[in-house]
Amino acid sequence: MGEEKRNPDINLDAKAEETFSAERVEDIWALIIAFIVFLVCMIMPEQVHEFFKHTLYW
Amino acid sequence: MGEKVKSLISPDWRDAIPGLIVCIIFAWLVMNIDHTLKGLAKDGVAWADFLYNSAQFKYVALLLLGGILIRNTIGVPKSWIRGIMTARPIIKPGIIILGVHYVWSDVVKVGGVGLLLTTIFIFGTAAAVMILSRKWGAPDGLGGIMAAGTGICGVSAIIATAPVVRAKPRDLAYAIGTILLFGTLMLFIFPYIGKALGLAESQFGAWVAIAILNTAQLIACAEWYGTGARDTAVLINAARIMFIPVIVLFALWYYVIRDQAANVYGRAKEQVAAAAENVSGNVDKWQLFKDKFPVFIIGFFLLVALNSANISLFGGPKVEGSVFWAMNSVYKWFFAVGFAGIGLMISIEDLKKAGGKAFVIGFGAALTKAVLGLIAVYLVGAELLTVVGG
Repeated sequence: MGEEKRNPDINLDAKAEETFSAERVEDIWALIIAFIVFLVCMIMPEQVHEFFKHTLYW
Repeated sequence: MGEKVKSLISPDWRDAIPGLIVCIIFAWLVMNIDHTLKGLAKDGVAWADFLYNSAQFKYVALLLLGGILIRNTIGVPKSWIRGIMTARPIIKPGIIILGVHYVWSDVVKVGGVGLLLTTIFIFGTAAAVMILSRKWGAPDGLGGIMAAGTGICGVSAIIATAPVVRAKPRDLAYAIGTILLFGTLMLFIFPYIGKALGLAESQFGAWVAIAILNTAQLIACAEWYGTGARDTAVLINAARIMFIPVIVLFALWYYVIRDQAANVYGRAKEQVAAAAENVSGNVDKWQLFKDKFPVFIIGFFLLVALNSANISLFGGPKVEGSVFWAMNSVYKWFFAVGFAGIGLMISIEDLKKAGGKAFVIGFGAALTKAVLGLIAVYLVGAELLTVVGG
């Protein structure tokens, strides 16, 4: 493949960089949220279960 | 440190609040409709039994179909879009928390079979698409992104690979449109095909984990089919998404390193190999691998490890009053909010963007993979793909 066949579009790199840093941020937030859930479940497991299994349903 | 923490909070985070609240309310409403329908079906009410058990109108279908219907008929205000986009990745903490469902024997058995299947299908599809694209005269950039997109993980893999293979922005738009269209169609068709073929839940879970290209869509599809399907799909998907950095490195080697080497030295075999070695030395492959690795999956495996260790402090998903028992009651709500986000994000206008050579390559490869994947899970059988849990 010759260089002329490629489109050296720098915006594409920026777009990929931006998307992937956004995905990395999503991943880190997912870890933080899961850790918070873990902590809350350690402190009050019965209440968490009651809330998500019963209270939230009408 | 302060800068790193700052980068976790988007400057426009306030814009996400309205859409996110809409998704939470939508998810809450649908979860309650699901709960009511389930109760009525259990009590023997004929219409509810038909809707819930025969037509499979469970919370997943209601959120996806309802979301699509709302988005494409009455529409959603622009001010909601940012929040709806934020809702989709809320599936990720749900996946991490679901780690309390598994023990290492599941990971070894199902994950092992799944890893073998995904390795064959990922590299088989990626290599076939790359080779056939060149044979049919498709631009290398397009071949590269379609190979990554149909091989692993749809849109994420396409975007990850695009700059590496120097894809054109127009090809990128076509490729993303095609992958979204395929994923959306399969998401609704697969559960009915599975039921018609009498696929066991574990086989169905393995099939969608191989054939559907997007994590959120495949988990929605498997959850729709049943909890057994979801358990298998989540585990195999965890193995699959870890391949994203590997496939980016593969595309880098196939399209850039190998070609640059060939351009410099001509096509003499040993010279190409030596030159490829030289060019590849200039790329920080470890950095590239780290950048593309889906780190959230570490949380999932950490919970699998803790659950497998049988630590009395944490209990287990079936041990009443324990930490993992409480966590087990939470994940479905994360999924529901995420599925609400997926449904409300599916715009028929975006799907119409599928086209060009990307459509032919993408649909051909993805359909072939789906058919071969179905044959493979039939041959492997339900037993090896069943998650026992603990």
